[in-house]
Amino acid sequence: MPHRPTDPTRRPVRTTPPRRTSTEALRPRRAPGTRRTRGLSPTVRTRRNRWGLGVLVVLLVAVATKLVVLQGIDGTAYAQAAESDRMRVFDIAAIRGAVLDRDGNPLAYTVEASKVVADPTVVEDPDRTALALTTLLGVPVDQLTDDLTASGRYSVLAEHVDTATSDQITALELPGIVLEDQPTRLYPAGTVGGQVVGFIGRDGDGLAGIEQRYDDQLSGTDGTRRVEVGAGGIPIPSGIDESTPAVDGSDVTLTIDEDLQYTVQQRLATECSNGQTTRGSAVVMEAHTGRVVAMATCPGYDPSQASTTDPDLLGNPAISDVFEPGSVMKAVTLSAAIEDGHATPDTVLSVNGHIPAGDVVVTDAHDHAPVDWTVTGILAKSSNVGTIMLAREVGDARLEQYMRAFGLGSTTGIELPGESAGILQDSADWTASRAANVPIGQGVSVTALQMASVYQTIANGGVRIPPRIVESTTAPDGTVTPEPQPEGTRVISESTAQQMAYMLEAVVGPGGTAPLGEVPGFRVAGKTGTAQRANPECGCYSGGGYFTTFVGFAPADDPQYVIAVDLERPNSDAEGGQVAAPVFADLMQYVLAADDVVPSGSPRPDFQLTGTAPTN
Amino acid sequence: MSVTARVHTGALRAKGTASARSTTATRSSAPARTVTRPGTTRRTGPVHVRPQLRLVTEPVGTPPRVRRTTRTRPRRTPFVLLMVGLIAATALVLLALNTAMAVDSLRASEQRAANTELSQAVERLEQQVTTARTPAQLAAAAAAAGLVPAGTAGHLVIGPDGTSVVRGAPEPAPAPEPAPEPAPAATQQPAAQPDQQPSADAAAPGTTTEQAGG
Repeated sequence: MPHRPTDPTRRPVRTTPPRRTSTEALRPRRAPGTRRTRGLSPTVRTRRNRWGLGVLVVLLVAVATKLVVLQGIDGTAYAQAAESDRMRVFDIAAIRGAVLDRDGNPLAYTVEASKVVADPTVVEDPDRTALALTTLLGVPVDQLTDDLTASGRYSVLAEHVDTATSDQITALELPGIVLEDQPTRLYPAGTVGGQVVGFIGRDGDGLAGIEQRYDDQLSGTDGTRRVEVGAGGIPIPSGIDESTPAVDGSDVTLTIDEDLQYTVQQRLATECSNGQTTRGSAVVMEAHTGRVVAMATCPGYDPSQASTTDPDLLGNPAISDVFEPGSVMKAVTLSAAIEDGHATPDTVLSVNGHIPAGDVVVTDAHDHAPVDWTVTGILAKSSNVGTIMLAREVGDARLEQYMRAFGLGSTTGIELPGESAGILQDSADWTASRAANVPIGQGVSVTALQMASVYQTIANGGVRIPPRIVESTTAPDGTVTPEPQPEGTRVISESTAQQMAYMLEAVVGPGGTAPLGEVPGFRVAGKTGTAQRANPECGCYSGGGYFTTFVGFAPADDPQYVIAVDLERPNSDAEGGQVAAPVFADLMQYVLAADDVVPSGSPRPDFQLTGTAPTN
Repeated sequence: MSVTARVHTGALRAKGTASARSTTATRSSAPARTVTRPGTTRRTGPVHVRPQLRLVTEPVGTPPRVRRTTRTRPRRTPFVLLMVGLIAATALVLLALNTAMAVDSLRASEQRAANTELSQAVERLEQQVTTARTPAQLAAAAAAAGLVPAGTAGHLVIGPDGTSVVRGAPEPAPAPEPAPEPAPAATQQPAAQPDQQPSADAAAPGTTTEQAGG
């Protein structure tokens, strides 16, 4: 090595002559130690090293930071995004609970069904598809072809298709035809109990009756199922499969008896079709429990046809429509008179045919010379004058108190929407004529249910139990939750109630106003009512026709059932004893026979309707 | 530089050979060392040096080496085989498990489908029963069968002394409306029809008494 390399960058290795020895392979090609002796000064190299280190550290830190950001901070979001790409969420529709009668017969229930939907952009051959579907769906071919060629990607072909049909459609494997779950509400009994059960809207919300009032319990909670899917949407066996099960709705059991309800509606339908009665309501109640076993108004409606029914009919007039009850109200007035000690059934009054009251003169149904009637006779003959005489002894304020205690002027609290409270003015506001009209059931409005409740109080020994129509709710797991039983309130004493029952029995007895209300073999107590109907054309009573009513219970000596019948007859002057009493008798006969009520066998007492008025 | 480099390499080589020799020498030629070294430190050296060398090398260094090499070598093969076997077995079991799971899930979805189908069939049948049990259907079926609504019921009440009393006012039920010539009844009972049809009009009172007592 004669020339020492002057350029520090020149590699010393090249200057070293190659050695050709036998051990050459084992020797490093580079001269030993040359690495350290490169031509950089240590300071430069250190600086470079530092820079290099710095760059590397910065890069590594950048990479590490990105990693931390990816994994730690954004990690969840990315994981979720990735997961949601693989996840499919399916809705599980909760089945709406059924509405059952007291024996468990369904009045409303839900079945699985499908909506048949087409995606016109996917349908290959609209004409062939339409031909294949027309018989299954029962839709004309033309209409189907139109739907299948419609613009857009969503075209409903048919709704509420049952499972048998939808299975056949699935088997056809038509491209572009999709089935969507669409649970369908069925009302197997049709109009029977329709007004009580109500109906649901297109979106499945209850819009009337029990369906509306118990919507929360009936509807349940929808569930979802999240599944991890692979290619083609097929669930991965070991993948995520979480499902929140749907909680089906609870069943609601009513106190309604379907058979009785049917009978009541049939009877009312007969009445409504006679040309005179435009509307008729009936309420059947258990005397000791206040349970409504049937409630109907003609004309009724079929909940499954609710969307095409006249909206005026979609109510429950038995609880929402008020009418002036007429003479059936006399039971309240006389109860007050007896309870307050102003009279007994045998008290004799000299009753004239008419009585002046303020600016009007109230007459009996037929004006007559003064007659000596017992209080029983006043009720049996339905004397307005006698009742007003007794009401004046009771006093307005006290009478109003009794009426309110019997539940008039306030809602009964039955588990149905749209209940009316009726109209009962404060006694302080009564004019002299109003004070004479209210005791005989004019100038005061009630619902059929309120009237039934008044007679339930008398039939139940003076204890009023608010009427109710829902027995219990049954959760999907079988837990039965009974509806709270309302507390009874004593309105009149038991002895007063017995005396009232005795007097009401005279109404259907000989000399009473309603012999047609009799049920063969049973002792019946009840009261007719014939109230003038306000003429909607003039706002007056003339030409308005009548509300004819009959409310009563049987057997009179051991009351089991209370029935209130109310018929609106705008073009007739027939009295309650002639038209409403027969309806009552038919219904009472059926309900007593159906419930196996055994008559006591005791004869009807002989009633003293007339007497000798004490001379004073 | 090159000079020093050469010197350096020479020294390295010398060192390498020397150290190689010395390590081999420690075991076999211990006397040789004693011979070479005494040249410098003859009197004091041998006494101190010998025991130190022996103590360090022989008892500590050699015996474990011999044991390890002789014993571990033949045992490595079964261990590796065991590992390979375990891995293979795991893979196979995993495969089997996966297959089983896939098969099960397939079967589960099949059975779910079958289940749905069955429950739908049950639902359909129940729907038929429900529809047939509605009061309107029952009334129609009863009327078609010639039944009439019962009137008031009579009750036979037996007293404590064994005597019986009839309570209520039982009445014979009215004859079913001879509206007949009913098409449904004729199609349902084709065999019995020829005998019954003439009596439908004529024997109305007879049927009334038969059905009395409701």
